[in-house]
This record gives sequence, C-alpha cells and structure tokens, in this order.
Amino acid sequence: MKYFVKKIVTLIITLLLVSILAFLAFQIIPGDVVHSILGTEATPEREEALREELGLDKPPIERYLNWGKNVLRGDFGVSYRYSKNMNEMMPVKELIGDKLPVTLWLALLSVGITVLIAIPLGVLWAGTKNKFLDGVLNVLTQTSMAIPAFFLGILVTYLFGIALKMFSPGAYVSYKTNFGGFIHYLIFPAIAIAIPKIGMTARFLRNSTLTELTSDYVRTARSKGASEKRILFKHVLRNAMLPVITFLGMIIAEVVAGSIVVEQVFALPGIGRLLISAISTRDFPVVEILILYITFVVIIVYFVVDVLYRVLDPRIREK
Amino acid sequence: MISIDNLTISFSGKKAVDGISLQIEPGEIMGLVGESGSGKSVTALTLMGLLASEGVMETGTIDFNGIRLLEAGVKPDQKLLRSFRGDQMSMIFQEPMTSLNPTMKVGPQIDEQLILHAKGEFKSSEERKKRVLETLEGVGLRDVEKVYDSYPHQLSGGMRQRAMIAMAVILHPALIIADEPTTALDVTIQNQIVKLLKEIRDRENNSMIFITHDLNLARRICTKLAVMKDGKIVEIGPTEDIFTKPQTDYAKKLIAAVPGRRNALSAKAQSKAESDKLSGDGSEAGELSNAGNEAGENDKKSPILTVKDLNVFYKERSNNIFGKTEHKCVVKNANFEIYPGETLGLVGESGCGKTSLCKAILGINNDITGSVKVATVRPQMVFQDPYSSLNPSKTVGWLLEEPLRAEDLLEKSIKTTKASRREMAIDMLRRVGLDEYYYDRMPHQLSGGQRQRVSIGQALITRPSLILADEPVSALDVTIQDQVLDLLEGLQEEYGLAYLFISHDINVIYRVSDRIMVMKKGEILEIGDRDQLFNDPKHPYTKELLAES
Amino acid sequence: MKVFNLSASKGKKVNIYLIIGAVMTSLVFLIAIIGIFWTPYSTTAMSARERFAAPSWSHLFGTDNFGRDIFSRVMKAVGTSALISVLVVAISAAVGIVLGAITGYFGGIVDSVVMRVIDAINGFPSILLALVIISIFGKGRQNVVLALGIAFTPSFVRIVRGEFIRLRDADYIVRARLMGVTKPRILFVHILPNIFSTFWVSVTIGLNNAILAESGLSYLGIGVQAPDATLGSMLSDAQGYMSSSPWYVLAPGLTIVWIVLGMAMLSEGIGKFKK
Repeated sequence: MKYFVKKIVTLIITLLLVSILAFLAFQIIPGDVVHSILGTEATPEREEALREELGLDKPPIERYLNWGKNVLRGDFGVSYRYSKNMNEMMPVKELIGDKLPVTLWLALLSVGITVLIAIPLGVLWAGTKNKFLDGVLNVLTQTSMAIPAFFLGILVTYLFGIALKMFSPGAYVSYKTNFGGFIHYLIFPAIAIAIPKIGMTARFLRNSTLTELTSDYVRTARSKGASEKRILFKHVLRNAMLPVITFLGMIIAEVVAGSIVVEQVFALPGIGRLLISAISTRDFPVVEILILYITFVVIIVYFVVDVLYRVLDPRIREK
Repeated sequence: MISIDNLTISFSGKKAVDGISLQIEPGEIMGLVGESGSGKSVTALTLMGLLASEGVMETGTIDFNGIRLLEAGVKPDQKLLRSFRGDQMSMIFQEPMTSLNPTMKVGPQIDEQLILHAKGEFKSSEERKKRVLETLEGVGLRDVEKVYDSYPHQLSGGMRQRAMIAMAVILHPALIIADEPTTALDVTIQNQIVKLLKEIRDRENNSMIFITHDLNLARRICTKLAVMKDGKIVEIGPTEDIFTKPQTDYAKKLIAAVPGRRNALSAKAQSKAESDKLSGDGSEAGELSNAGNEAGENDKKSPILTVKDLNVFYKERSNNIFGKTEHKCVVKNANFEIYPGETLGLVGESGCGKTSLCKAILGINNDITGSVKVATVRPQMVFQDPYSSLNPSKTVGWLLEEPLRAEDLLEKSIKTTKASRREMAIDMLRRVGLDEYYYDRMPHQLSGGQRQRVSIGQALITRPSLILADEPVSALDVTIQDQVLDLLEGLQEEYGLAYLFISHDINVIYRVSDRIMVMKKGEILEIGDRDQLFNDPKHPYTKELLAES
Repeated sequence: MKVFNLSASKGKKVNIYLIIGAVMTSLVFLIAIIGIFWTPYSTTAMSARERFAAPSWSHLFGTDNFGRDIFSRVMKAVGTSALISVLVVAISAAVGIVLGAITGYFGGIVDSVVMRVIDAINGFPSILLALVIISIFGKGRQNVVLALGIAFTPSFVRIVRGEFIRLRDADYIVRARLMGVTKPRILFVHILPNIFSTFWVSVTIGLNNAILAESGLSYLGIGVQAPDATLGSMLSDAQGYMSSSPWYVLAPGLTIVWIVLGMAMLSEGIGKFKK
C-alpha cells in the first residue's frame, strides 16, 4: 500500500515538473503567437483582442496557474490553429480525443505482433543447437534493427500495398466509419513498427536465456535428471523473462507515445503527426497537453512493468 | 559399487583429468582433495554425465553397479543418464543460494525429484508433499511447512544447504556427490552440515564422494582419500594413513602446508621455541611464559592502535527520497590495542562485524562513536580476493608506484622521482618474492598467489607500521597459503609490522597470531594470548568454535 | 564452475564480426571522406534529359526526379550524417562521463536529483525529445546536433553511472582511497580506464541510434535543411517514386542499413573481444 502511495506521489510530482518545464520552454520560443495566427496584416486592435481572448496579456505565472486550474477541471483549452467551424476554435480535448484511438490501436497491434513472434522466437533461438539456424537468425535480427522506421514503412507499403495489393497505401479508413477496414489498414504500419522490435526483443530474450542456462540452478536441475526441455520451460524461462519485461516496457512506452515517423509514412491521423504539426505551427496548448500525455503514458507503463516484476521475482517483492 | 576406470578428460586438447581410476564401495566416503584446477570437480561432473560440451572424454569407462554409464568414444545414452541422475546418484553443490532456482519455492524444487523419478509411487500431490516434508525434517529443519513455501532467499545459508541435501537424499540414491558443500558456510554451520552428511550415510549406507580443498575437513569426514594433482591421483588410501604416513612428495607437502595445531609447528612458533631454548627455559611451560613475557614488553611500548568504546554504525542507504535511512549498530563497544610488531588475530563468522571494524579503523566509515587512535600514517589493508584487489587496467609497476605518487601529491612535496619510484617498486617486488620481470606485467597475467604478493607489496611500499589483513589467504590454495603466510611473517620481522589479521579459519589464526580476539554479532567476546585462549577458552562460543577444528 | 572457463580460451578464434564490421564501417568512412573533396557529379546540378535514369556505369545508383546523380548525393549525405552522429555521440558521451562519474561515485543528493531529471528525459523517445528541442531552438544543422546530443545524454549517464557504482567499492578502489589518492585521480585515473570496454560498445550503439534519429528527423523535414542532401530527406523525396524508380528509394535506404549493420557488427565484435 505504502508502495502505491509513493508511486502516485512520484507520478504527480513528475507531471507537475514536466508541465512547468514545457510551459517555460514555450515562453522562450522566439516569435509572437498572435502574429503568426493573424499574419502581419492585422490591425493592432484585432491583435489586442485576440491576445486578451487567449489570456496572453497576463504574466506567465498567472497564465500557468490559470491553465493548470483548467486542466484539473478537465478543460484543456483551445487550439491556436485548428478551428471547429468559422466561429468556434477547436477544443484541445476533442482534437486529441479524435486522434488518440488511432495511436492506441496501432500501439496495441504492433506490441501484440512483437510479443507473439519475438518470445517464441527468442526461446527457440536459445534452445537450438543448429549452428546454421543460429547464424541466419543472427543476421536477420541484426538487419531488422538496422532498417530505419521510415524506410521499413516504405518497403512494407511497396511489398504489401503495391506488389501484393493487400491494402491501398494512403487510403486511410477512419475507425468511425468502418472499424474492420480501420484495423485492416493499421495492420501494415503495425508490421513496420514491429519488425525491428521483434529483432531486438528476440535477441534480448535469447541472450538472457543463454545466460540463465549457464547458472548454477540449471546445473542443479540437470543433476536431478530433468530434461533440457523441462529445464528451459520450467526453470529458465521465468528467470530469463525478468530483464525482457523491462525492455518490453520501454518499447510499449515508445509506441504508445506515438510512432511519429510511421504515422507520417502511412498518412495516419494519430498523436505523432498531430505533435509534429502542432510543434511546427507553435500550437502551444496542443503541444503542452501532448507532452503531458506522453509523460503520463511513460510513467504508467514503467509502473506496470515494476508491478509485473514484483509479481515474477520474489526477491524484489520483499524489499 | 561405482567404478571409474582410466578416465581422461580434455578441454580443447588440455587434459583436465588424466587417466584416473577409482572404486567406491557402499558406505564409503571417498574424499577427493587437491588444489583448484586439479580435476576434482571435472571428475565428479563427468560421473554425473554433466560434463560441459567442450569437454571430451578421451579414454575410460564409468560403471555404476554393473551398468555401463559412460564409455570413451561411445555416445552417451542421455535417457539412461537422466534416469540415474537424481534417482541413483545426486549432487550437492558449493553455493546453496545460486544452486537453487531463485524464483521457485523450495518445496516444489524438491518435489520435482519425485515428479521426475517416482511419480507412480504417489497417488496425489498431497502424498508427495508429505514425503517432502518428512525429508525436510530428516535433514534437521524445523517448521518444515514454512520452509516448503519459502523462496531460497528467505532461508539462511545453512537452511538452504539443508534443503539442497534434502533434495539430494529424498530418493535414497546409492551415491551422493558433495562438491565443496560447506565452503560457503560459516564454521559452526559447517560442522552441523558435516555431521548431517555422516548421519545420512550411517542411516542409508550410501556411497559418498566428498570434494574439498580443506584437508582438515576431509580428515573429519572421509574414510578414504584420493589426493589429486594436475588431473592425476597421486596417492589414494585410508584417510588416517595419508595423514600420518604420506608416501608421495606432493602429499607430504600438502599435509605439511595444512595450518593446524596438530601439525608441524609454524615457522614463528618454531623460532620462538628456539629462542626459548637459547634463553635456557625450553620447556612447554616456556611457550606460555614467553607469550606472557611479550605481553609484559608490550606494556612498556605504546600501542600503535588504540580502540576505545567504539561503536560502528551502518546506514542502509536508500536511493528513494521517501526512504528512511536506517541506522544499524554493527560493532558494539569495542576496546582493544595493538602493539608494534605483534599480530592480533580476529576470528568470527561472516557478518559478525569484522569488516565494519576495519573500515572504522581505516577511517572509511566515519559513522562511529568512541575513539580510534592510530599512531602511524595511513595504515594499509590487504584483502581476501587477489582478483579484485588489483586494478586490472594497470601494470604491476604502476600499481606499486601509485602509493608513492599519491603520497607526494598529498603532502605536496616531491620526494620521489620516476627513477627512484621504479627502483623502490623493483626492490619491493624482490622483497615479496617476485622479481623485475613482473614490473611490466598486468594483474591478469599473474596467478592468485602472485597477485596477493603484489597486493602485499603495494600495501607495504609506503612503509606503514600497521597492516589490516582481511582474510588474506582464504582464497588461495593450501600450499600457496603457506607461502603467503611465510611471507607475511618474514616481512613482519623485517619491518616490525603490526597486523590485525582477520580470518574465519581457526587454524590460520592459530598459526599467525600472538593474541586472539573472538567476535560475534558485533561484540568482542574474548581477547587473550593465543595459547591461553586455545587451551582454556572462557566463552562458550569460543569453545564451540574450537571444538571441531 | 572454474573448469568450464577453460573452454573459453579455446585457441585464437577469428572474430568474424569484428572483421566484417570493420570493413563495412571503414568503407563508409572512406566514401564520406572522399565525398568531402570530390564527387563524380555535382550534387545539385539538374538535368532534364537524365531524369529517372536507372543505375548504369555512368550513374551507379541512377538519377532522381531532377536528374541529379544519386551516388554523388549519397556520398555527400553519408558525410553529413556521419559528422552529425559523431558530434552527437561526442557531446553526449563527454557529458555522460562527467555526470555519470560524479553521480555514480559520490551518490547522495546530487545523484538523486540528476537521476530524476535523467529519468524524466529518458522516458521520452529520443526522436520526440529532439523534436521538442528543435521546435524551441529552430531548425538547422547545429540545432540537430544539440537536440540529439541532449536526447542521447541520459543513456550515457546511466551506463557510466552504473559502472562507477559497480567499481566504487571494489577492493582496489578502497585501497586507492587508503593510499590517499585524490578524488579526481580516483575517478579518472583509477576507475575510468576500467569502464572503456563497456563504454566503447555503447558508443557504437549510440552512433547507430544517432544515424537513425538524424535520418528520421530529416525524413520528417525538420533536420538538416535543403539544399544539403541527407539520407533521410532523399528518402522523403523518393517515397512517391517507389514503384516507378525503386533505385531512388533503395539507394539512400540501403545505405543507412549498410552503415548501421556495419556498426552493429563492429560493436558485437568488440563485445566478443572484451570476453
């Protein structure tokens, strides 16, 4: 219990710090937001009005506190760039809410593919005595890690989209209109994200399994007459998975935070693309919330990893 | 009966075991003794069919009650071996913590033996559990239900080794191989485990192979001994015969090197006895009075180290901002002195506060109350592990010169030059029994004994008059141990050094000490002259410690 | 089991990873260095007649949509990417050594504070962090180096810190303290040389990650700006012509794979060498 309270306090402090840092960072950015929204032709009166509307006339500390109060109430403010219609500005909440499912489903699919393939592959690899298979897997995984995400995306597009015609590149289907088509389209970017992660995870699992296989308790199990298969699955796997879990956590955090490059290659309207456009157009309210979202995701994922670690490793549980 | 015939094992062409033959009868405890690398463990692992894949069995056969288990040139029948392992023959390893699966409860790990070899005999998992609990009781564990449901790290070292033994004996194997089963344990626990192994043998009449580097221990448990060197058995016979009338030179050397009261007097004791003779009172009482004399002399000299009402605390450092730092008292109310030229032996089990005491004396830990007065500049320390006490990225010469450079920097006066430092380093190399050749070597090119010599040289080069030696020979083989102890004694005489000599090994302590201090759980239980303490221990714990060694 | 260590010293085995990795990597550096002084064609000269020429002896990698020689552009781009990556790793490794040594050896409050910050930065995927930093300081070559340098520092701090924690209580360091060796000397003369084998592996991994991140940024159009060719921006331009002129995409793409694979082999080779 004490552990959970501690973790939650840490979470809150970190979010607070990150929000202040992000807020400060955008204070020192050169250039006036109002200028860039209205252009250079606008009258001073019009600029003044907008400044007041956005609360930019107040000192930074007051603005931060106001903003913080609103966020706590669930009001994330409005975007400087996007508008709902001619008269209404776009609330950040709706903007992000719209894009979030795309990124989350993409993350779920790619992590799912990674885990499903990488873990059996890593165990098989560690268990094999076949030198040729070992060499092939080594080269394959090494190569998969050397391909940059966007190049992989282009290759996947070409292979599955243009050569095999399994989907039409660029023709994103919204989850609102056709959920089946949406998932179908997402599978391909998910594959592009998963390939290098499969390589990394399988290598990692293989190495940690091989390390475990040389440990004393494995020798004990052999001295009991246990078969190699039993040793691998009953004794080694659980211990070998411990470091892999931390590693998987890093991957999940990375994917959930938005696969910027892959979203760009496949023209997916997700968090990553939103972040790029918001940054390049200085859409500060959107950026600030997105940074908080990413921080939040990262911390939560690490927290889950921590809990899982405790469940699997009795030695840590007691500390 | 187990019979090994003309067994040769090689690792990439290098022979680790070289044509050995052994027969082990039921009820016999065969000791395999010898220094590290002599092929003891390789022999045992081969017998179990657990030889690493890099090892090649070049010649020989192994038969187990008439069944051929292994034969050179014949592919081993893994299925047959597996059915023997655990069931007919089982093994107990050195390090009980790492030898048990850390993420599996102890009970199920023992239960696995039953699942693997005797599943048909039991109707249900409850019945198997009953059997496991009985076995745990049989190896002297109490509260067995709780032990069954514990993870290895929740048990003490002794309990873990008992659980390992339970695992090894649950199926009443015909052969039990124990590979240094007590080396990682404290002396008093060691004695209990040895007793337990003997009891089991008496009860079940199994054969045992007992591998150890500790000859005193081998003498206490084994019925027969096979002395190994460089993969060969150089001498084999009943234990007492080997100890009382060793035939080969190597066995003689090995037995002579064993530190212990029963054996030849140490160099120091001898020289003392001689000087006693010269002064005309060479009798047994002379030795005692000699110790008394020395103590009398010490009264006149001023001590080089005075420890008064010392309490040492240990802070549990936690990296968490919310974590409280815990303050534990690890040394309680210590009072003692060390005089120039004498050796104070400090004996106690692991975790008794020996190392904390050292750190307090050296000023590494300042979290103390009471006072430590050191009448010399920068006392130095010699550590147990010759592999971790020399910086692996430097040459021996650099290492020997570094204390001189540090001293110059510290005192902001340049007393030495590059040439003079080199000269001093080479001089020191000779003094510790090495020579100029080693000046440009890296630590990893040296053997354990050579490293320990360099380590001693490094401690002495700035000529401190107090050295703290923390188990300086525990990681070394017996014959090397002997040489290093000789060296330490010789240097003591040469420089008039004072030692605080820490060891868990009563026999080593006996050999080197003038006075002995016994410590347990942070408290000093007893301090006294060596012979007085050995002949008439006051504290019950000291008695227990001395009882079996 | 000491006996099993015997097997590790089995003869002198040829370290195939080290050789392949070294050959692949030195080829890259060779091309990059030549590219600074000489390229077969001008990297900017356009030619309407020679648009989308397939690879041939006159144009090894073919030409692009403006008729520019792709091989020449790749040569230049490799140089740019290599320079940026080396600078990024140099900055982050240098900061990493100093911060890692201090936090690892001394611990305490400084350690707690620095590690909190490092953890916070480390949580962010490095490309995201670089994005945010670039959005603050603006685009351009120096800012890419700065952004990636900051983004890559945490991993170096962690590695160096871990090694210093491992070694700070080693017997030979305790002895150095007893000799009265000064603290900076302990940190940088006694401890530092012992972490180099681990450190070099992370340097090669860092170089790889820097190459991938830099090309990612220029693919997104926020890295090094035109008219300088970078591997990422070339891919971004080529993306639309995948089915008609595949060489246009494959040339920069496979070049990145080549560089990264060579370096990965090299780091695996160094890792094996260490043992």
